[in-house]
Amino acid sequence: MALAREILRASATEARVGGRTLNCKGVVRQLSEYLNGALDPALAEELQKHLEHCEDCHLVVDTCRKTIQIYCNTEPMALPAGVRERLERALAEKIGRQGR
Amino acid sequence: MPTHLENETTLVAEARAGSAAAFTTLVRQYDRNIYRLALNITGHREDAEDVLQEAFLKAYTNLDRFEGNSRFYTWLVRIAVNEALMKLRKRRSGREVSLDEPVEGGDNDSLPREIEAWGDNPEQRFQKSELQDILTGAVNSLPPHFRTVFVLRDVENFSTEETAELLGLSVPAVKSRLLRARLKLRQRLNKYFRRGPSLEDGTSSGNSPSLGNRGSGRG
Repeated sequence: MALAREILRASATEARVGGRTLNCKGVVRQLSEYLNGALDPALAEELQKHLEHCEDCHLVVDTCRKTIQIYCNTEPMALPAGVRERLERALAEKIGRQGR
Repeated sequence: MPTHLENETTLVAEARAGSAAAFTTLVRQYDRNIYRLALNITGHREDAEDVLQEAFLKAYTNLDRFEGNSRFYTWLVRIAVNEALMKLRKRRSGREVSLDEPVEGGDNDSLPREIEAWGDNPEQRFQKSELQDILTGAVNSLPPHFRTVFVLRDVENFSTEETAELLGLSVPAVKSRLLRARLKLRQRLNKYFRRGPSLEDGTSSGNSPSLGNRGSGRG
């Protein structure tokens, strides 16, 4: 954690020097909304500027984006053997009893 | 999320009018999604199959109550989520886990660890079933109040507002949980997807060697 704190301090200093206020913690807090494309444009621009000079945050944002893409692009697998048959049997029984 | 919206409306109308075949078509259209949703929330194959059956049986029984204000699929997901949460609560009844516990604050401010480059399409290194196991395992490692939000928002692709409505949560609560869930998953998946020197196919050639070990000193 010592290194993490050091990196954070360095980034925060750098951000101040560059006249910006968004530090690494700020980026992490806004990351989700940024990836959703729902961040206020001015804040998004500030975040992008931070990413240009902070490699750690750049990697976190990039890998978080990929995490979301991998999940949302993965089609559901075929059902395990027997699951659909048992489901349809249960439904057939229900429909046989109840009708509509 | 499954498409075929017009198809869905027609099938629902036919099923309501008594067509078992139309309902069966709806079942086949959505059963894989509902099973995955149930498996991601409950973390147990048996529970997921129970949820799948219960959700479709209840949907059939209550088809007359479906008013068409939302998509049939959304209505079905709501039933499935409720069934899955009940299963989860039963499994955890001795452990007093609340799905509604506040998660704001806490380690919201902690910095991410395991910071390494992944390269493009890192999931393609794995076979489909292997990838599915990795993704499901990672989701199941999340606390329930995080994974339910993540599953609806990022796996089933419901909007933040729809997710909030489906779970009876506020939009800010969904956003907060989603952020935490995404960060935790990113961290969990890093060991599978990072671009490392162990890859034999040369995809790491464009990577700075120093990035390969960035995660080791953090935390």
